[in-house]
Amino acid sequence: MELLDRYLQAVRFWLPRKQQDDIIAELGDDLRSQIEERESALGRPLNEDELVSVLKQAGHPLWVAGRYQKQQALIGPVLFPLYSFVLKIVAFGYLVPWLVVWIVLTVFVPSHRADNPFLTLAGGWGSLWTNIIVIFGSVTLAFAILERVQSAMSALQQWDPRKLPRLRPKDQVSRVESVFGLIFSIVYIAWWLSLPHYGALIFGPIAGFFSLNPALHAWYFPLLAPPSIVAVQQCVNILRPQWTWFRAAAMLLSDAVALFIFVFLAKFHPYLIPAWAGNLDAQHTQALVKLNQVFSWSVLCVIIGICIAAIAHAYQTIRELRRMSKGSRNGAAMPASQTL
Amino acid sequence: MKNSTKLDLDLFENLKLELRRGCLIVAVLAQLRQEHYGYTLRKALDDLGLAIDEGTLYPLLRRLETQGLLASEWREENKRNKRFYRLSPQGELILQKLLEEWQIINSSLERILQEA
Repeated sequence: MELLDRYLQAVRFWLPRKQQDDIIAELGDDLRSQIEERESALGRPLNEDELVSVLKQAGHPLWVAGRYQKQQALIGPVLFPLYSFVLKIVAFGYLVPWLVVWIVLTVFVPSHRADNPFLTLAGGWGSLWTNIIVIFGSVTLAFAILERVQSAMSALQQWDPRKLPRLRPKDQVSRVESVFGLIFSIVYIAWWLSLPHYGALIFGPIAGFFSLNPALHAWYFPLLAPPSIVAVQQCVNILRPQWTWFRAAAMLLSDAVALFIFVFLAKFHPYLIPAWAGNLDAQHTQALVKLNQVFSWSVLCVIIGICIAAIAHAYQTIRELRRMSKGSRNGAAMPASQTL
Repeated sequence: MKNSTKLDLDLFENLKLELRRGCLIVAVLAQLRQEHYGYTLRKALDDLGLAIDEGTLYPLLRRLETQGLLASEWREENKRNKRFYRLSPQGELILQKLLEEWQIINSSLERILQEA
């Protein structure tokens, strides 16, 4: 019976301390009863293989002990959807921007690249993984504590159906959203067109000292393209709010055009130059350097922002087109107005 | 093709487990209207066609006792200490209610299956 005692010892190791004696006594009695019954049927003691078979049937010690544990999950089924949702937000809100910033810095900022690109890569990924572990670990720990204190349970029980979010209009672009968006687009385009006449609106008191790099003048009208595309989309969606695919596709096109323009603009550093040929005094020279730095970082931030928006709009476009193709395959499921 | 067969079997096992879980509680409570210790309870259920392994039975007995549905005591029998279980008064009330629920579910299922 040495094998049986070894088995019970292994099970005991994984059991809660207070219940160990009780559970082992009961389990041991059951296994001994099984062995005795088999021995009396065979008319002889069990050999080692037969004993092994009885124990294997009882299950691995860890599995057997695990059945006696009260809490089986770190985060239970009630909190799990919220936990999963928070992790997704963290992933998209942190990891995606991190990746975009890292790619943009590596591609567009030569000083960011170390002499050894592999070291830069390893260092970047090392800090990413450290942050992932810390952030995901913190979220998991917070939810595990919440699970133990069960404070969420009372909140889930005291809910009022009247406080649920309003029903969103299904498969439609809100007309109100399109109208206000169009007003904003028109105001923005008008403001942009007025800039040559009212340049001081941008530069204020420094307008007399600095002016834009002449190379940038060529990009003045192309910069109207992205808001114009959005304005057209808003007009179309006021008339055809069911064309959700059109909004996603137009926004993606606007992102692509804006990204193309800003990537080119980034190359025209310095963006500001002295307004006249003579030398500036030390104070204005320092201000010019600082302003060009601010412009550089602003352009970089805009590029990052456009990249993130483009990813989101590409995802929406694919989703809308898939939905449309599914609808057209299912026939009646897709209203004719979606495609007309 | 092999994968899909395996997947179906896994799914069936999971669903079977879910189906059995509630039934086992009713069966154990009903069987413990008479006093039993673990091994004889398992044998009795097995003889009646409801096999249950020790890894499932003993934690279940412990849980039902913690919930106040069973009472237990250690006694010596055949020169060995054994833990005897019996339905508690609270357990009897709950069992009665569970059996009523079982009857309702069973008759509903029968009607559903007849319609199908």
